[in-house]
Amino acid sequence: MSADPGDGQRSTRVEREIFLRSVGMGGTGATGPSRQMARAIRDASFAAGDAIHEIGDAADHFYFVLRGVVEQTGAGRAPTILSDRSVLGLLDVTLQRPRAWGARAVTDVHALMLRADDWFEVLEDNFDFCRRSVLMGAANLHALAMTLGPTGGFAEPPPDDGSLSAGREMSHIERISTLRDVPAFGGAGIQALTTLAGVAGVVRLETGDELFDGVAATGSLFVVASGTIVAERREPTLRARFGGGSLVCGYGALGGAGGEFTARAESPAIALRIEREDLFEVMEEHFDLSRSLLRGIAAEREILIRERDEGVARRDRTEA
Amino acid sequence: MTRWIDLREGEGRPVLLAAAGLFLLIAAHTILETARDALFLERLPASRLTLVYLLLAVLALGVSAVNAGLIRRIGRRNALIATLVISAGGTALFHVRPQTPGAVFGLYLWSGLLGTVLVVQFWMFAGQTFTVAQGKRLFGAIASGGVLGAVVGAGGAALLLRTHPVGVLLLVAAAILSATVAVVLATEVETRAPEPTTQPASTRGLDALRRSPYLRRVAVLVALSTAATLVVDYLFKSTAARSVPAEQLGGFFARTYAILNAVALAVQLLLTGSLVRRLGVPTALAVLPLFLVGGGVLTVLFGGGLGLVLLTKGADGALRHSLHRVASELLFMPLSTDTRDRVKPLLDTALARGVQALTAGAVLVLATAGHASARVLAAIVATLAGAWVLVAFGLRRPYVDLFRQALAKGSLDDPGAEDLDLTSVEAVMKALSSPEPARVIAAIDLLEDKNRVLLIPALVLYHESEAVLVRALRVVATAEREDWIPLAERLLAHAAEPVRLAAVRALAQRGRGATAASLADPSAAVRAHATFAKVRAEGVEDPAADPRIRSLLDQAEGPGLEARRALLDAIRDAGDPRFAELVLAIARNMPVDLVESAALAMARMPDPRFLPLLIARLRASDARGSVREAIAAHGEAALDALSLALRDPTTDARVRLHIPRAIAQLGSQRATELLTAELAVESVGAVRYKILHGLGRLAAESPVQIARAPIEAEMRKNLVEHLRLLALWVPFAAGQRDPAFQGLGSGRVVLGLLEDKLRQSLERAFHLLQIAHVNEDIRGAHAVLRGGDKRARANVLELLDALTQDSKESRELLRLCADDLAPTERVARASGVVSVRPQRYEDALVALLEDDDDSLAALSAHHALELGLLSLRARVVRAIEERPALGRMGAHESLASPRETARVG
Repeated sequence: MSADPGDGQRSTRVEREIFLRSVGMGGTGATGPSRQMARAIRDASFAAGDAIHEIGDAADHFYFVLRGVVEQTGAGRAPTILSDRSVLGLLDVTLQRPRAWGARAVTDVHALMLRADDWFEVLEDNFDFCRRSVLMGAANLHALAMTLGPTGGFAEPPPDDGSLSAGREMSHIERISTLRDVPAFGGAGIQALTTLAGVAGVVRLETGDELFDGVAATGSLFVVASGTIVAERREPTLRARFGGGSLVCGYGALGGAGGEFTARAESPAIALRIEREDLFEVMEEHFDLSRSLLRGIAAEREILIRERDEGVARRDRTEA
Repeated sequence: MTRWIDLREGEGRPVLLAAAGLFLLIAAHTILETARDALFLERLPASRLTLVYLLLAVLALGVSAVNAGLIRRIGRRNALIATLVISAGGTALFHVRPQTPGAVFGLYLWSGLLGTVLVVQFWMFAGQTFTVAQGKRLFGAIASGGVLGAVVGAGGAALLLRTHPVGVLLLVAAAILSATVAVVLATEVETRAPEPTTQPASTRGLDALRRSPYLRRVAVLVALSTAATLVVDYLFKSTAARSVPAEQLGGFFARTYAILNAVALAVQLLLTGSLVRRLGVPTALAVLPLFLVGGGVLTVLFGGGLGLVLLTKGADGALRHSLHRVASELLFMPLSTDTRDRVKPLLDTALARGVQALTAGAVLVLATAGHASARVLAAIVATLAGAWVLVAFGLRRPYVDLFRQALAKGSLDDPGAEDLDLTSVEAVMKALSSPEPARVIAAIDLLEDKNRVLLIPALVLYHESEAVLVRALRVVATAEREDWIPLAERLLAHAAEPVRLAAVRALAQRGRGATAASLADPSAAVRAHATFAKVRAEGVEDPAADPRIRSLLDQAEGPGLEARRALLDAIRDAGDPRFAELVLAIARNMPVDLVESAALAMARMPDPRFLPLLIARLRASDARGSVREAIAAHGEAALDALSLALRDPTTDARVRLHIPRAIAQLGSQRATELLTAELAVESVGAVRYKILHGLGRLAAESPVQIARAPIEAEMRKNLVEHLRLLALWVPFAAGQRDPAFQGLGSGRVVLGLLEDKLRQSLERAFHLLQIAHVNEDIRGAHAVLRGGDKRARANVLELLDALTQDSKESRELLRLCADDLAPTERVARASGVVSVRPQRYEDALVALLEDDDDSLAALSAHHALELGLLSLRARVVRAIEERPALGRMGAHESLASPRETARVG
């Protein structure tokens, strides 16, 4: 490594920084995320027809497509086309799994490559950026869910196993266990969950009791420990049921989307109430929790997109 | 045993074989050397020694090249085997030949060449087998084999000479050299294909020397040590030849070598390892020359009697093949294998022999001129050894730098990169003229970050994008320029409210915003900016009481909020302290949406009355960054207020949590000292964590001095905590593998928490080390320790050793936590710092029940009850009684239904 990268390279770095800022990887100052990424990022070029990655490859990096067209193909999925200013391969990186999508350059492609380790380091070093990424991901997911018909794409809850009796306190370990069942938190370390369980309040509800009504939910998240909670929304009309180990109103609740809903107990239920501010505190102290949330959002997004695509396909078939 | 040899799993066999190989090699060479010296001094005058040194040096140059070529072609192990076979055969031939003066002269040359080539080949072979960390631990033990070989060889020679003529020693030496082949053959090593090259090894070695200041220093050290020890050797032998009858020389040399080698063995076994670890490699290299300086000076002062000369030779004999040999070999370990292969033979043979030739030539000249008296020779020894000491000390920094280089992550940070050069400016201008709004805005942001807003052309205000217009108006108005004003006035009539708002705001900063159109604008925010500009221009004394301002504030919720925000923004732009009361009026009971604007206004015109409001606002994550900036803008007054709030037990817990970062934002020396002091006394773990991160930011971003002692003390505390937790983890994790405990979810949760805490304590320790050594890549080093290969980890350990050279306690704790050790072994070695080291699962659980960490204790209580162990139930009851926090965490619920298994998947 040379101490002075030279004019050409320095200029390239400025261009990279402008690009990263323009795709929302902003931030100011010498240690901002865009500066940090601009230093870690590397150029990558692919000729038309080149395979960028294959299904099953290790997902240890992703790309920002500067120029060119890329086709993504997944098993049993319709191909998708990505063009300038797209992000390629971040989903697999976030989900920490081998490539589920292959990618091929349709035209000559100039991209910027960022290693997964560097990406997670940027997120860990810049909590505000990390928090923004989580909230933005949650908001996009919520917007997507709102387009998915009467249930918002929320899966039907499994039957309650009845392990938590309504008549007694929840022990600390039961709170941890409940949180660990939530996909959003399941990837976090026990210490993060222990801290989160420590600041969570317990809400007990009888059938028909209201968990929250609109604005009251904007500062809090609710995790169902037992029983079933039904959340309803007027415009667009939506009714979803949430059982043990689920986040009431899904990831949208992270961004305060709970304020759009009214939630009631459909059966005797116990829920954990977590203040959003408390969640952010624990996320800042335990990056594994932030990473788990990002992973949960990415996994949920994939499910909802598949559901949306299947819905579109069904509609097309019906119309045909 | 472990006091002398720090042996790890899988290391026993290679160490034993290496030590045995060196034992045989040195034993054979010592026997050969005894025969050679006795035969030479019996048949030839001592002055011929200078001639033999000279010839030996010349021959060694050729042999060195052959040796390097041999290693390159057939590998280190095969080269060693081939040389051993040739050595055994050649030595046997000298036994059968008549021992004429010529043959004896040839024998001296032969044994000298063998000594040179075989020892170099052996240590290169060892360097291939072990890493630098292993080298530091194990080379002492391996070298002990060599020293023991010297003792046994010399003792054996003395015994043999009682009953046999000197010539028999040659046959014995040849037999031992043959036996050494079998030992080397039994040793397994990594085989690597040699790198293809068209350049001769010696040329490539010279290239490496030219490029590396470190290697040049090592070369100087080799030259000085070779010259000094040669003069010592000549001083000793010439004095012996003068003082001891010729027929007794064989016995004299055998006894002397036996004694010296025994002392060397003791040094090797008792001192070498600990000296190298404690002093570090470069300082350990200065020990032998310091003794030589002492011996030389004493000989100069008190004459050249055999006693004093023996003392000087004694230091050489005791230390050269023990401490000095080990330290010298470690000097080459941080180099890449390729560089080591190229340079080491060049230094150890060609350079060393060249220096020997020159020294021998100089001594020959002195002897011929009759000036080679013991005093003169001793003075030369003292001078050369003195220079040797200086070079050894000078090696410390470049030696550590080599490990730094090995860890360098390729950061492109450089001060010059902060400024925009011509080509960078071209790139930015190109982005500014892009049709894509996001690219234009990104370029504007970049220029603002770099304080280069004058580069933004006013014509950008003709851009079609609203977002670009809003952003550009925000930035150009702050510049010392007028060209944008007519364009902004045109935008006051823009259809989009955000553009009109941005235009009036920008113009208000030049006292031009209060136009009739703006004052009547349908947007409450536009009206607020225009009103502010008018009120300010009129010089109203108490703007908060002005009816025009009051009417803006009295508006209904939506427009009222927008008007308040606009007023705060306008106040921020103007920075007029007359509006402080208005800021306070808005800030009291303000909704969260206004915090950002209020904080920015407060930052622009600091007022001590803002501080309590701002500090209380640290509680919420929204706009916390701006709140921190506003607090920091208050300087020393802010530091006092933050310090009081941090120490006040009634301060909201969440506010306290964010005070350290706010203190760090001040970026001053006093802020640093305050955080350092708080780190030692803060009892809340989460706040300590924030203090730690605050200090990390200060160290990385501000030109402050951080006292290393308290930071390292905190680091040690975390390392000890890591070891304490590890001592609990070992039996607990082992128990979790026991089928009797498997399936109990609470046990897995306790184990998970323990493992998280283990990782966290180590991470914090490395974070603290990073703060103490801000210019080192400690984060990268920690990453290597977690996942790097064996040699990379060894390099990190060496760097950590060097960084903590001033604190034995820190160094040993770091090594204990970071070294390649099995957890059980690590715990066993931590007995000095960890008092509770349970052996059984139940004992570990009892210790966890009593842990200071409430979560760990509560979860352990639950697990103990889930296990249904009656012996533990009483302890759990007592723990809950003594620690109400456990009850609050639901441990008593577990007590009520002890066998109820938690629903843990």
